[in-house]
Amino acid sequence: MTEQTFLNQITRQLEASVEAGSLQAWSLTTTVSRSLQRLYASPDGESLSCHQSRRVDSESFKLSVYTPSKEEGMVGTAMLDLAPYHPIDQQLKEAITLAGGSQNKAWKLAKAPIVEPPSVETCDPAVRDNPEGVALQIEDQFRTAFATTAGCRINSAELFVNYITTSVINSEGLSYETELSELYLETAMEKAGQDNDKEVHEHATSVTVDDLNVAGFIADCALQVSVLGESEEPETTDNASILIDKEALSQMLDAVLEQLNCVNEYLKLPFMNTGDRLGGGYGDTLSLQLDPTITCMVLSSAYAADGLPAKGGMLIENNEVTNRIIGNRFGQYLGLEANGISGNLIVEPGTLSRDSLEGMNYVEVIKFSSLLIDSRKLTWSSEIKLGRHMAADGTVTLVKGGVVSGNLKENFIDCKFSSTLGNVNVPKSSYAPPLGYRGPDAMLITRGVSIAGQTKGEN
Amino acid sequence: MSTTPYPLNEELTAFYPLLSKLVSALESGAEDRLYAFASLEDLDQFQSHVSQTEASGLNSDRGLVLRILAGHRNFEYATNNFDEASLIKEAAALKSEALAFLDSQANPPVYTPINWADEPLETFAEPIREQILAAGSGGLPKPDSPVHFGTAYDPSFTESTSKSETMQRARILKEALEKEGGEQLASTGCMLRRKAKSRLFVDRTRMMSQTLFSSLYYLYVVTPSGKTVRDIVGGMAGAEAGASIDEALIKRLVETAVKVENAERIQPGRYRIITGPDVTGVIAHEAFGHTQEGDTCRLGRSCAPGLRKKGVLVGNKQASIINNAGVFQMGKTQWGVNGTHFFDDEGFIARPQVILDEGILSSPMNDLISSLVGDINGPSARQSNGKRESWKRPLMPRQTNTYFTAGDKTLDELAELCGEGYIAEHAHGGMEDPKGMGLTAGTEYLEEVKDGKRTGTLFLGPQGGHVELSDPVPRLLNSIIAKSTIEADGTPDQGEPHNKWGGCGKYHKEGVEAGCGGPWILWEGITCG
Repeated sequence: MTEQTFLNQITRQLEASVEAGSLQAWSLTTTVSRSLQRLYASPDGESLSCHQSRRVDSESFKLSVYTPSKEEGMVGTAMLDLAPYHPIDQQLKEAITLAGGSQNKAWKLAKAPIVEPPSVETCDPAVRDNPEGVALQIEDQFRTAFATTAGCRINSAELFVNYITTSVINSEGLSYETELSELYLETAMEKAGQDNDKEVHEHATSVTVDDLNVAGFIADCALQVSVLGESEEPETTDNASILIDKEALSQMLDAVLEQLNCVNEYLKLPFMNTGDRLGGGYGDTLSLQLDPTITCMVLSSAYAADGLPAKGGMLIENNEVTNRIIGNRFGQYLGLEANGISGNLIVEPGTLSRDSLEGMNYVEVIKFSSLLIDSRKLTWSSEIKLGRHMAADGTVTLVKGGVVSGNLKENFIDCKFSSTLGNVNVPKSSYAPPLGYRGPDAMLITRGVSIAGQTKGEN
Repeated sequence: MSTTPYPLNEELTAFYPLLSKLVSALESGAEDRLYAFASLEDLDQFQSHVSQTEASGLNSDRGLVLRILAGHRNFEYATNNFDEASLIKEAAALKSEALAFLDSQANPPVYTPINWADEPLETFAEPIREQILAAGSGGLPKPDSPVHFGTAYDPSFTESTSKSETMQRARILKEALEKEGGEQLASTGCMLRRKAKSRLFVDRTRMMSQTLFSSLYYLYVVTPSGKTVRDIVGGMAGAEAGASIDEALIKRLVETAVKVENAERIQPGRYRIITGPDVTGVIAHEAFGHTQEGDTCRLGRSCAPGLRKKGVLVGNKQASIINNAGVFQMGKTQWGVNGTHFFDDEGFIARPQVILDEGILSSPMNDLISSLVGDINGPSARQSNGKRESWKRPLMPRQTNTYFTAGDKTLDELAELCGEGYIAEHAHGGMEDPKGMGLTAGTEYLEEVKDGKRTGTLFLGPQGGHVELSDPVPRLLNSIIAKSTIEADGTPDQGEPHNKWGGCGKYHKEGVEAGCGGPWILWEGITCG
């Protein structure tokens, strides 16, 4: 059965169920994806040798059903993956039965907008039309870029070239499609010609081949390799200053974003309301907005996740919460007007430059081992996989190990953001939703950070 | 308790002829040059989550992987389009691609799979051996005799297969938490998940299938300041896995949350620590778990092959770690955990492997290609560690259940030996650095031990978050003072040590199920922050 035939059949049956009164509403998301996956070894440390080459074709159909409830103001809800290889009527019957056992406060699904929101480009046509060619191009760029490095050895690499189309339809007439290309390039490198106890393991992600910037990625990895050497554990302190990069900063702000979503208020989880403050003090001010319109960013879309037309909007201005994300369902629950605010995190640059760091005592965290951020407590912690202790007198010591932890409510006080901007464009994975960020390349945190490591004088 | 192996449903059984045809299309006439298999993966999962909202969902996913191993390269095509003509065409294209690759190689190696007769049956766990022999009517199965392995479950627990009872149970447990917590809590929730994950595997030597039936009960409470305390109960079983959830557990969860809400913060530093099976397991998984994964070793990304070659001791006599997919009983618990399987995603039967024996490293945990290519110590034995997140993702050597071996102390004796320190019982993530031998294992909070006794006083991290335990691996593994028996209460050991429900991402992606555990362990000192 073709995808369209299956969709036609299921849509007919869903409409018939609404007509018959067994369903109140429904929505259906169809995802079709193609993936080209290559894993590489490098026996000689200089070339890429593919040891696993895969092609993957998949399609999936996710159905949400809403059934009338015996209780006024309530609705039955259930979600299921529809399988084309099983009879549709049986699956629909099962969905309706399940919904009967899951009762929620009723809400109205998003309708088709009167004016179609402007579409946003989120696909590199080359990935759509010639994924094999893109893979070869990236392999070639990798080899060319690596040839310009000195003193590096390749241990491994991975390349994923993905193309995904998604269509959403619902019983209220909403209907839209999105197209997304995703590129993932990873490599592990170390110093050539010696036994090592450190490697650089980095990955780059993007929507377009150009944005992957293979040459820049390899150059960055090579630069990291060049600084590898003898290291020591960081010193224990309950009052550390640290410099973090845009990846860590974007993840921290993404945790903050959860508290700016009205969902948390309804779920009785910690949330920030208009007028609340985050950070402040003598540092750079924090201004945070979402933007769904930037071309070829992973969180750009004409529609927000709940089917409302996506809109950009300021959420934090000069450290004060000025607005919240109010989605369709939870906005109705809380009696708030939905605003469709969604998209990529946009943060204003600050005043921090490399020069302004001179004479300061801080640890630059080049790589966290595993940055775990608690979006409810707004705390975080990680081992330092690789970092640099920069002493006030200019002495630089490579550090590794120990535990660095922080408290975001404190961290944004007296902090400094870099004056230079960068992008983070991380596609969805089985671990985390997508993350799109445009903002400062780095952040200097001077409050609310502890480090557990060595204590001078102790073994 | 009367259990029965979870059966393979008829609809899946009907795929065998197609898989056989596909294997033939992949390798027919070229068996002396390449090796192929076809594998079908099927997920049938029901989940009910009750908190401030209610959500029920049915996840179904079925996909097929066609694999050719040519020389030292794997070629795969994966899809969930089961049209036979289309699949045969794809199989032919994959074969052409593989043969073209072989033509470009000088003397490429050829892998020949082993037959049932070559399998070391005596080393397999009882449930595996029994089901092989049952399929062969007491003897070894023929290549075209399907062998099915199913995890045992107790059908008398009707909740196991009833979605409405499962939903009702989730609601009851959530309401019990809410009632117990009252105004002290901001929110409570309960998520129940029932999963049947099946796999069919066909190559030129065998036809086999497995269904792993598991149950997960996830209960949590959230305090007004957002501190979350949870309990995860579950295993490779039906609803009997959740039978231990009682009023005492609910009460304990709420009491802990209230304590955590008001907990003080530790000063960053080094402390004497007792880890419970959950945190012990994360350390096992991260210490010489990831470091002993075959691809990490062969790609030059692990320190382990070099240390093994030099014969370096990386831990003391107490430092013994096992990886074993064949865990079907843990202490007094009559089932395994979610890292358990009968065969891996490349069709290799589960068997235990000592990956660290009293501080001495063994050969790595291998998938097929890693066993053939080897590391600086040369090729080594294939293990049952070839796993993938799903049919959509690449296969790599991954851990199954990784655990420290048990010792001889009770928990009370460990506390007495500890004197002053902390207990880390509930895990909160972890990460490894196989090249640099760094390790970090998180715990939700620490419980104080004073004068050799647990005080019940809880502490959070220096900034009010969870606590990370981190040290260089050799330092850590040399600091084990003593280990408990499996139950830590003086009763004789039976089965394997307790493994906890867990998951693993290799570095930062490719999520797979992985149990980990061991006894309670007293460590001389661990950096806590």
